[in-house]
Order: sequence, then structure tokens, then C-alpha cells
Amino acid sequence: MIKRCCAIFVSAMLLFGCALAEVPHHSPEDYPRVDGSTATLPLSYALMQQVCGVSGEEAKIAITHTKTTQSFYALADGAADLLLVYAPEASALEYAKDQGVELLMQPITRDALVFLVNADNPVTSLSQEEAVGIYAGEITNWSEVGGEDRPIVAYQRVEDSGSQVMMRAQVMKDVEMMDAPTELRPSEMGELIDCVASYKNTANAIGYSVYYYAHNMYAQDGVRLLAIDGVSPSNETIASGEYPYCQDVYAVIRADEPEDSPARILFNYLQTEEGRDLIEAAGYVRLAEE
Amino acid sequence: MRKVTAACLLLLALCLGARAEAEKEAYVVSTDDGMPMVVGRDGALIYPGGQFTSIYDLLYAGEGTQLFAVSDGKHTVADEYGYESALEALADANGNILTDMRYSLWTYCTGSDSVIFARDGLMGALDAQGNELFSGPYEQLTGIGGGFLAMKGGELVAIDRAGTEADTGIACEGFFVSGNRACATGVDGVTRILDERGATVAQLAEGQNIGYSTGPYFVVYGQGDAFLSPVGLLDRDGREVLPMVYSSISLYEGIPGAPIVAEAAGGAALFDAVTLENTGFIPMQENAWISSPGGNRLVVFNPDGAGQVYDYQGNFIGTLAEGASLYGNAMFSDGKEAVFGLYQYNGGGESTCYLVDAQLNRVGEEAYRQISFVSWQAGQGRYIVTNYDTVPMDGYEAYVPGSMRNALIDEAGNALLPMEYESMTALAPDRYWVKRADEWGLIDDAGHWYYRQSAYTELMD
Repeated sequence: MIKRCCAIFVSAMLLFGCALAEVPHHSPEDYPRVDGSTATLPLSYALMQQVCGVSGEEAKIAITHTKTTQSFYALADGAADLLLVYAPEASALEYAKDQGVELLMQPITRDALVFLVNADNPVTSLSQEEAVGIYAGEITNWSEVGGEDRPIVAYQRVEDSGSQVMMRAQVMKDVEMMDAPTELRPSEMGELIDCVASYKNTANAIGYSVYYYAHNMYAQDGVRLLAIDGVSPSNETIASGEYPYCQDVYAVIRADEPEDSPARILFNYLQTEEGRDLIEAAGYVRLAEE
Repeated sequence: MRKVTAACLLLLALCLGARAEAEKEAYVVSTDDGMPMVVGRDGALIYPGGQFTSIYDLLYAGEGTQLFAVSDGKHTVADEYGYESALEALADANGNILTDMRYSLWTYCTGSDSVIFARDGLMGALDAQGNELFSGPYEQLTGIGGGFLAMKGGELVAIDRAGTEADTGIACEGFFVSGNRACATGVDGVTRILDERGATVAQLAEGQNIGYSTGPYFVVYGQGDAFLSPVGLLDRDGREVLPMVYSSISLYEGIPGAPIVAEAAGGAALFDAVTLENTGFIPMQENAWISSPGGNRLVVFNPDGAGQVYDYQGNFIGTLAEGASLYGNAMFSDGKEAVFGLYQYNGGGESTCYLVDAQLNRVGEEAYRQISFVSWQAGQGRYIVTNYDTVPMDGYEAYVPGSMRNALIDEAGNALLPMEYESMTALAPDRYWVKRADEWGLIDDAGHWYYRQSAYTELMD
């Protein structure tokens, strides 16, 4: 009986030991050159803190992300070693290919474009067609989408902002967005959320933002995230892809990165259970293990 | 013409580098998104990023009312070729938009506290409250003293602040203004020096022309080929102060205390810019050129060797290493002998910079990729120093994006602000616009924040 229990115990420990990944440890001097999207900066800071044992402030000073597309050029040129990043413009992938650089890209989390309304607005969900109709200027009153008889005040973002790009690409697609006057184009995402939450606008306003920002960085009382086609944006519905307007975030390295290089080690680590723990603790959506 | 053009460009660059230390109320800055904003010296946010697509500080240098030309990019005007440019409004340093967005705003005129504008085919002037003082069909309009000179139908007219015109009787194609004088070459071929009301102060000899002006002088050339003719110097009343025997004359107006450098065969004669006393002579080879890094130093680059450093009296100080240049023209300078930045180009895109004293002795042990000389006042210096990483690429060292970090050091090389700033721009000796970690903001040279904002308006891209 004791032998059997010991055997079971040892087997369990072996299995448990195999499943556990050791957190990599590097000095700041040996830390790979990490680059990527602005959206993944909090994750990048958290990763360096965990791996190097530095403070959050030290990580923020040390790390710079040069934005999505530029970071891919840096990786292809050897000026970066590991990216935490959205998918880039096709030209960046073609550049890497032209340079003879093969890349390894692995999804590690997911973000989403979300719609916000004032908490007093009785509308809780829109269909994808209704979202397009509002921002094409074809639906102008909340009563047309099940709400009260109020005009819709549709906030947009400035044209060069990432959320505006995402809005056009994922939501509007081939449909032209209506022109918005300057006062309905806040330059800052926080300002948009403030406008929607403002009591001055009561329940008329609608805007859009990215889930990570609206849910973690600038969560506001007085603002509610809308469901789309009955699916509310949450960590779960974004992770599963059930929520429609999602965008993957990747870890990327050069395929010829040596197995024992810090970049390869961190790339692998981010795909482990402990790596997913770190990603989730940093506020990002946890993807299911593949 | 090429000599005087080159001298003009050099003078412009130097003036842009070292300007009058008028303390401003507010600064035009921007962040990663490139949208301009205006922040007050005390940290007040006057115009937030995104309100305007462009903001220009009309009070670039000198004394006067700080006013801005602002544009939202939505109000435009097309020229005769169909090229669209943005229309502007006048704004002040307190957050007030003073006019409609219907102007092209040109320059601020200190003497009349006004701004020259173009609108609907007219030119005119606005006062500092945005009221139109006058407008008219002028082809050219420039402030001088408390009034203006303008071209109207080929004639030069003087205009007072109320807009009253006075005909000068001079027909010409254009003019330029320097301080309280203007110069115009009439259709009769005669070049005249004019006062603020367009009255002739002096008339140059036939064939003579004025190359450019600076400070109290005009550089004059003439009598033959404009490219080859010798040049001389006139004062504000047209009297000859240096004869027309020199191949070039340089006046470093933006550099306090710098001499007039008049080159002729064999070298350069140095003259005190105020007394015109001949203070020294520097030998130069043919095709050599001379520059002034400020701080009582001149550098001669002969074709066959490294830079030779002299003081303003022509005393030899030392020789720079091959590929080295001296930087002493601080943005804010009292003109005294300084601790300079020395730039050493090592080839292949690599460079090294460090501090040297007035005798060219190295100061401190640290070396940097770049040094920017911010200020030299009362023996104290402020320098922005920069480091960044490179990777080898195609036979040269390529900059690693995002690796740049800046620090602020003093004249002894001591770090006042550590090498932690991704971006650092000097606005005043005690004000810097910086990016550190995930924040942009306004700090002083002790690192105190007056204004700060998140570097990320949204976590996208």
C-alpha cells in the first residue's frame, strides 16, 4: 500500500514537474531587445519585471516599443530580438521575407474593439448591421435600435488613431463612415470615454475604444460596454472569439534564434501556463491552451 | 552671390542656434503622435494636443507679445496653381483664439506689436488682440520700427500703424528690412538705404549692391561680376567702415562677442563688431573655411588638415583631431569662453562626443553619441547628451529604433538629469520637454515636473 502510494506520489510529482515551467531569469544587461505595439507595453513591462527583478519604473525607463509595423522592420534588421505585437501591415512581412528572415509568430493574447454608451441608455446590444448603420449616418435615433426617442451622438476618434483604423477595418469595412465634427472627435481615448459618460450628454452618446483600455486603464462609472449580436465583450468571449471585433496579439522571434537565447526562452515561456498567468495578471485576455 | 548666399545661410543657422534669451510664457511642443500643443512655463496646458493640426510661435526670438498662428487643417485656400494651404487664426498665450481661421499669418513685428497677414489677396497687419489695423493690395509688406514698408503696384510705400500710406517716390521690385533700415534697388538701378519712413539715408554708387545686412552693418559688393567682386562693409547710414577689398565678410550676429571676420588672400582679418578695431589676423590656405563655435573661439579648416582653433584676437589655441568639430554655440549664451562639445566622426556612421575646455583639454571621462549645447551663462553650462545602440548593417552601424536615451549634464560632466529620457528638448536653460518611461512632460534642470501626461493617448498600434 505504501509503495503504491509512493509510486502514485512520485508519478504525480513528475507530471506536475513537467507541467511547471521555470520563470526565466536574466539580468537587465542580458535581457533581449523587446519591441512591439503600444498596446502591449504593460505586458512588456510586466515581463521584464518578472524576468529581471527590476521595478516597474525601471522597466518603463528601459523599454521602448516603436509601434507595430516599425517593430517588425526592427526584428528583420536585427535591431530587436522579441516582439509583443499586433499583426503588422503586409509590407513589413514582405520586407522580412525579402531580407531572407523567417519569423515565428505565436498568438499570446487578444484584444477587441468595444462600443460604449452612457449607463442611462437602455440599449444594451446592437447588431453588427446597426453598429455600421449608426456610424454610416443611416441610423440617427436610438428609437430605431430599441431605445428611447433621442438623437444618437456618435463620437469618433481622430483618423490616425489605432482604434479608428480598427473601426474602419473590422466594423465598417467597405461602408463609408460619416464625417464627424471636431467636437465629436476627441483626440484622446480617455476624453472620448469622458464624453460618453458625461451627464451633459445623458443617454445620447455612443463611442468606441479598445477593450484593454476601456476595461483596465480607464474604466469609468457611467459607461457601459455594448453587446454585439447579443455577445457582451469579456475576457471569455474575446478569448473564444465569440465577440466579433477581435484582434490577436503575438509573440514574434526570428526563426533562427538559438534555442538557448534569451529571446527564444522568453518566446517559449509566454506560451506556458506560467506565461499565460503573467499575461492575465497584466490585464490581458487569457487564451486557452492549444 | 553664392558667397553672400552662403554667408546668409550660415548667419541664419547661427541665429537659429543662439537667440536672445527672452523668457517665454509658453512653449509649442508635441508628443509621439506629432500633434502640437502649447504648455505654459508654469505647466498650464494652454492648447491641448489635437485641438490644432499646426501651431507656430510667431514670437520666435526677441521681446514682444507671444502670439501663435493656429490651424485646424479644415479651413484651406488654393493658390493659382491649385495648391491648397491651411488658413490660420491668431491665438494668444492665455488660450484665447483672437480671430477667425481665415488668415495666412506671417511675422510678428516687435516695433508695432503686430502680426503681418495675408487674406483674400490682400496683405495687412493685426494688432496683438487680433483686430485688423489695415489691409491693402500690397505685393510685399514688412514691419520696420513702429510702422511698415510695402510694395504697391511697383512703388515703395510707407505705412503707419493706422494704415496711412505715404509714397516714397521709389519704384522698385522689392526691398528687405534690417532693424531700422531697409534696402531697395530701384528700377533706375540705384541701391538705396532707407529709414523707417522710406526716406533715403544713403545711395550706393552705380553698380554697387548690398549682399545682406546684420547687426549695424551691410555687406556691400559690386563693380563687376557679383560672384567674384570683392565685398566691403557699410554702416547703417551708408558710410564705408571696411573697404571693398575682401573675398568674404562674416558677421556672427547670433554669437555674443564674435568678431567680424573679413577674408582676403592669405587669411582672415578680425575686427571688433562694435568698435571695428582690428583685433587680429588668422592665416588661411586657399579654399579654407572658417567657422565660429562661439565662446571666444574660431576654427579654420584648411584643405590639407584638421581644424585649427583660435580665439577672437587671432591667438592660436590648438589643433583638433582629424574628423573633429567644435560645438560652442549654445542656444542661450553670454558669449564668454565656455566648455565646448567636441564631435569626433569615426567613420562608418560612428561618432563620439565629449566635453573639452577652452584649451581643448578633455573634461570628464564620459563619451556620448551626441552633445547638444543648451546654455552657457556665468560660467555654468548645460548640455543634452545622447546615447543609442547600433547594429551592423551593410557595412555601417545602423541606429536601433527606440534605443535613444538622453541626459542633462553640467560643464564638469556631472549628470543633472540621468540617462533615462527617451526624448529631451531644451526650451529654456531651466525648462525641458521630455519623454521618460510612459510620460511626456515639462521639467526643469532639477527634474521637477511642471506638466505631465501619459505618453499613450490610446493603447493601440
